[in-house]
Amino acid sequence: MEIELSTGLTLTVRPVSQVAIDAIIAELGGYAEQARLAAMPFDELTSYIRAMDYDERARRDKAQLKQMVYMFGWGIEETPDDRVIEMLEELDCNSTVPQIQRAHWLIYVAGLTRADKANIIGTVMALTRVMNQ
Amino acid sequence: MELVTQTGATIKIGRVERRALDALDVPRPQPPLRIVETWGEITEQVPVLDDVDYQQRLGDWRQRIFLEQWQLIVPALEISGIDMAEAVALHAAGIGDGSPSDALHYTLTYAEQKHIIAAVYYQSTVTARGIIEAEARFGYTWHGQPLSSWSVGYTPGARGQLAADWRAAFRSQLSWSEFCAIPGPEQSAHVAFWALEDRLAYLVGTYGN
Repeated sequence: MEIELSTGLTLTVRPVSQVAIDAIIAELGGYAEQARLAAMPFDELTSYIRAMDYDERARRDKAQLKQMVYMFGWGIEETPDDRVIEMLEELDCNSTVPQIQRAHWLIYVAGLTRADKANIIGTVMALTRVMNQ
Repeated sequence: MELVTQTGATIKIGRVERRALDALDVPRPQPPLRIVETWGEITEQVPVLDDVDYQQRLGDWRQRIFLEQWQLIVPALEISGIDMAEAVALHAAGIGDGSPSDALHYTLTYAEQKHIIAAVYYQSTVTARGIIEAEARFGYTWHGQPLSSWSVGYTPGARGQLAADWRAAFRSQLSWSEFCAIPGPEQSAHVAFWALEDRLAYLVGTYGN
């Protein structure tokens, strides 16, 4: 399945492990908590996040980054070219694991908007759920 | 007992301490209640089972039970012939600890992992499968029919599985520690035996004369 992003980049999406997705969502507080936050008005949400203690906020940020790395690294088929790998090395993102290279490319170099990133995550999750039914 | 996955990994199923399984307690979320008028001024609280938030909390609870069960049974697994590349890559991404059990956890489907969990439970404690197998082997019949096919008029009082297990241990003159130490299929056989004896006693007492 292909998705076209606002930057003109077209990516091929594939399903990942439902168990891994659920484990990451559990770190983010579970599906019920995610749905509750998604329904919050923006100003209420920012106040809610600001009111969290540092440990809680750090835990959530780490889980969100983990979610992006997993969805982009394992849920996308395209690989970054050598020039991008060189750029990542200059940024000290010099992992030799192909999935993580792909994730770092999409997170740091490809210039995706927040909506694009959310679109990829949503599509990978939906595709995985459909494939597991 | 051994299981082989589609990818060729072999899993030797062992036992875990039964009391650890009994101690697993994750409180189930409760549905919200709605007050409805049943008759005149009499009201009744009715659970709203299709509440979206409740359904999501229920899904999270099921997933938590699954994860806790998986963590409990992992020490009982002896895994060989597994491709570790995926687990190592996931560990580099901060997911899991890169162990062979994690390699299984993140590559097998829920159904396959539940099958493994069920196999460890079967080896460790009283299970429905163990009871059915024991009943079939005991071969009790009443007028030529398997005993379990006869309906018996028990009183409406109900007891949990743990109570049935305690009673079977007591009637077999085993302490609870001794009962917990024997393999799961044998525990199931003790429970099945006493349940069949009770059923037979009821049928003989009611229809025997």
